[in-house]
Amino acid sequence: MEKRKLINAVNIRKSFKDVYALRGVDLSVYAGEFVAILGPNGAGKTTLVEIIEGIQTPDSGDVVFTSEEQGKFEEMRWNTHATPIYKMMGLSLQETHFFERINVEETLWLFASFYEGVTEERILDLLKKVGLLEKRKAWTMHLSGGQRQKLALAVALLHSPKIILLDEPTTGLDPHARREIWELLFKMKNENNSALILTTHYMEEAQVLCDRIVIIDQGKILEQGTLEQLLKNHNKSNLDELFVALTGRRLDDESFSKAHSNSI
Amino acid sequence: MMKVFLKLIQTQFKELLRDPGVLFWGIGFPILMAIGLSIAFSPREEVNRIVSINKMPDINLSKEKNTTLDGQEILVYQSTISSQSIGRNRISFYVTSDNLIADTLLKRGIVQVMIAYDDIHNSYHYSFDPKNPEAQLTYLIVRAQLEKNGLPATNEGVTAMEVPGTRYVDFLLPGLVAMGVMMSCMWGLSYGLIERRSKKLLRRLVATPMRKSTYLLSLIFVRVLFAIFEAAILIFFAMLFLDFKVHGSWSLLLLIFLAGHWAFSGLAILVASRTTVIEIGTGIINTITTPMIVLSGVFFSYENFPSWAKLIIKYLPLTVVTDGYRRVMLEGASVESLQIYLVALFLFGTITFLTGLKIFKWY
Repeated sequence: MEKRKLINAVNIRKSFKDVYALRGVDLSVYAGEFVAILGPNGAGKTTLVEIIEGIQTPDSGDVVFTSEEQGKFEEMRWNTHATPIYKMMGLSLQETHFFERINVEETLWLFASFYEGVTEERILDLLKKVGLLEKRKAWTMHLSGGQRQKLALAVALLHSPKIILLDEPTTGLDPHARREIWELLFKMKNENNSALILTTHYMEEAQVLCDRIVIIDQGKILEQGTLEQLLKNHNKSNLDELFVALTGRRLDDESFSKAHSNSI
Repeated sequence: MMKVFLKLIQTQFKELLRDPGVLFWGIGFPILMAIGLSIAFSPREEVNRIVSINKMPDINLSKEKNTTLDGQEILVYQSTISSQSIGRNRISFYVTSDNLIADTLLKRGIVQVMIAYDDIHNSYHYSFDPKNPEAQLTYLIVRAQLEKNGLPATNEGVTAMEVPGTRYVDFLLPGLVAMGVMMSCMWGLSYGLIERRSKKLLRRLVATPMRKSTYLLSLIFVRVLFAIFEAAILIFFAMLFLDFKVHGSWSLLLLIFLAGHWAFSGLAILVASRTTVIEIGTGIINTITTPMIVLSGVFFSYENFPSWAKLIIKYLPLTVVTDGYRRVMLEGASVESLQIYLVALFLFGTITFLTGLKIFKWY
């Protein structure tokens, strides 16, 4: 697999008034690599992802994207290359809302118009894979929280992006739906060599889906590496134990409350 | 039960009072409105009533500074009548022998009553729209004043103005169209954008390669199509049932309509550019639209306001739009005479749109 840095975030700092959300975070993601960011609530996961997404501006630090065009590499930053960066990026935000009186299929067609080469076949295929084919004529205001989540994911993957950023994409989905989403993401990885950054509250999701796990708390990366490396370094038998050892908290407690606040 | 109820009330009060924006728009703004209304509607020392007259009678009136209409000078005489029932009324006689000027004064709402001298019977004939109560009162006061000076009305006395173009409804309709454009932009665009921002839809939309200006322009385009449809219904209804007539060209009317829409669209984008709180947005929209509805000559002419106020009112966007629509609809104005309106509205719209776009908060 090609080893090329798609995203390189260096020394990212961000504060909101007197609260430090990120205190000098470095994160690189390679093409074809899946990275999970784990952390308790308020750890800075969403802030980090939103800075990479260009939705927030860091107080200091640099985020560099590398694109490849016919074997030529180009470095891109938000202030100079926002449009090409968004072309190679697909994202699903926390709490995504859509036009309420537009149906699922129309929503996908709207977002498809922002990119090149999205076909009807692709839209139908995505609808099928995220389990919204039968709901394709339903107004988005009539979708449940979980169905909206699936639609947000379909929108993110619509143009087969090189970089996928998903902020808690499967929170509130049932285990079957979650597994279907994972399959879809694996397919994107194999077919498109896409890179993925995902924040999640599910240990299993991080373990199954991701090549690298980043544990973040109080605005700092505490540890990162493959699951095997992390467990070996800290002499732990599973990710749960490792998380407790590093943060002093159990992720399960938070994932339970989060999942149930976002019922399908 | 009661404890929970009281706790909920306390919590909601706290939440409201801790938001300075809500505090201002919810409490401060109504107080400001009350002050404004009390100034506008407090008993005025003097009410100014303007009439046009084709020949000034030889009675004791004070000569005032002449006024102008589209560069033509008009002589002005004044007289003051006071009584306990009607208060103090200052009557301004605009002397013009040119019927066209008198007509224009009427169409622009500057005068409400036209008086014509009958030199055979040495009497005066009055014309006004009986559906306009202010015009009726002006007629009664002026007629009483002239009769007191031995100048009776003709036998016919009064002609009800029912000729299309000179009635109150003719004055009102362009104002209503202009107000419709303003409300459509301010509520349709501003409120819609603030709501979408608060629901985080804007955030999702701009996290794509789509140009931000494209999104805003598409909103304006949709709104303008709706506004054209709404205005067309109003105008055609008036044409069909009220004998309303558009005196100017339809293409020029469309042009000034679009210029007015562009001006308010720019203003709407600017208004919606920052806030995420719907209550604050609503307050700002009300602050901008309510004074213009009262002052800009939609329902009655702004000529009765003091001179210092007129200097400001003349440049309010709704005044410019309303005046422009009246010029085309009632006076059949040419594109040359509308140039200043078109340029002013286009520039206003462009400057406010670009400023709004520059400072627009998408997240």
